[in-house]
Amino acid sequence: MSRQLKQLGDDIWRNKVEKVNSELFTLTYGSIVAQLCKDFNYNYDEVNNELFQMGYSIGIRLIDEFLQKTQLSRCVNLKDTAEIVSKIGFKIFLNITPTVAHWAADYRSFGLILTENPLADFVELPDDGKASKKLWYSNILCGVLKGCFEMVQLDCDVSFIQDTLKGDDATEIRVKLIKILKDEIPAGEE
Amino acid sequence: MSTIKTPTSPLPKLPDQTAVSESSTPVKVANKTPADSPSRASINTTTSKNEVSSDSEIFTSEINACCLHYLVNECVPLSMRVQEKLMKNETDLGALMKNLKLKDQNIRGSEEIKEDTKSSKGPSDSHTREFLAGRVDYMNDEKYLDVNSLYRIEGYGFEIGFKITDCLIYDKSVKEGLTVKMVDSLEILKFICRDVWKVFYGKQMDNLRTNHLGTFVLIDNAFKPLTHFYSGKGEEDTLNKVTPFLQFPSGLIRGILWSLSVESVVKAEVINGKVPGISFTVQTNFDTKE
Repeated sequence: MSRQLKQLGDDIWRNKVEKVNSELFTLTYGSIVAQLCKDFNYNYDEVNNELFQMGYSIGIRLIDEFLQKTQLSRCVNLKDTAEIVSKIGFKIFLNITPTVAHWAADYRSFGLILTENPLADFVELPDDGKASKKLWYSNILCGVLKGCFEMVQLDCDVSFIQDTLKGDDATEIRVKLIKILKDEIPAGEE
Repeated sequence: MSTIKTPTSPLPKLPDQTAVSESSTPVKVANKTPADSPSRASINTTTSKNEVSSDSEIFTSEINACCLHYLVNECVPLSMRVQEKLMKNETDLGALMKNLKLKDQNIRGSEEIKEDTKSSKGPSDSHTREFLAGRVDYMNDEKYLDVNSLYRIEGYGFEIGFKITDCLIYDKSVKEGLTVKMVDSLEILKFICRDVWKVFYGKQMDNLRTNHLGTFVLIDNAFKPLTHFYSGKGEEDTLNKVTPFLQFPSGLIRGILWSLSVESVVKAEVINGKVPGISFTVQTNFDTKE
């Protein structure tokens, strides 16, 4: 199963995807974060929040792109989901494959360990003592995941728990399933 | 006023600058690389040592183009939200200051100020409604075309253009095995049309015109981010809503020119009211050295 997924991810990446330099992306994202920090006067809670919001908006659209490219059907369980997110989702968009690890005993939450992170290449956090504690530089990823999960009826909590930029050993995103949503008419569209 | 970072050398002016369509003449090359001025930023996402030393490493990794485009498009609602929050802080602060003043008996017309506070508070509360992600409701907000938020988007573009220039020039020089030197605005504009547009939007600009007095018109007949941009309410509405999405590329152009020490004003327009066709009018500080 996992081999097949990897194969599929590689295939899509190689043949179906239009590509740009990742440095361009890195710089663009970096500039936006830098500007946000300035705008909010280095209030990093606000910055995290905005990045998440941005990601969320992207995520709920990105899922269409994902489904269209992959033609995948529903996942059976969260384990499947995790594999697909790492081997296909991250692969076809960012060309990285995070490791799925640290499953909780009840299999309702897992960690994604990013060995490389195109968002954070060449990045140093501001040296003001606050940033290394509060700022989750790549928080947009959490937003994107949150948005994508929500669109496939998985209500999840997504957050960073460690980041190499802050001096941690690894960069890890924690995904925790809260509940499986029922198909509903979106609010305000009855 | 302009800080000169690259050698804008007093080379003899090229005699043959008639209306240029930017496909034919190769960009001027010389023996000195201008790509060695390290950039600066509070969060350092700029050319760092390891990048310069290892030729093979830079510009080899790739990501999905749609990530970049989603990110750039998301700048528009982001900027609106930021503006709204800042405004709110400001009015809160303003209200606070006015309240402080109210306690001072000597100030005349304090009643008026009180009125002001009330009226300014009213609308600001109504603005803090929830932002609906993934929808286009925000485009109908009156704040959508707010000058400040437009300016902020332009700022994002500017910053990115300013920082990316070194990388792009370096990349170009590595790829072509030559060092690139840009001697005048025309060369820089050609560089933008060909190389910058290629990396950002996957295609070159379609046309570049100049009057040789520092004004350039860059034409892209199918500007990529707007190829699927259409409002359900018809063409006029589409045109009204397109402005914020033109701020980013305008800023990008201005940023690149600025980092190569050319000051400019960039204005983007939809050609003939048909959306994917965009023209950028670039007014540079034409230096009249004969």
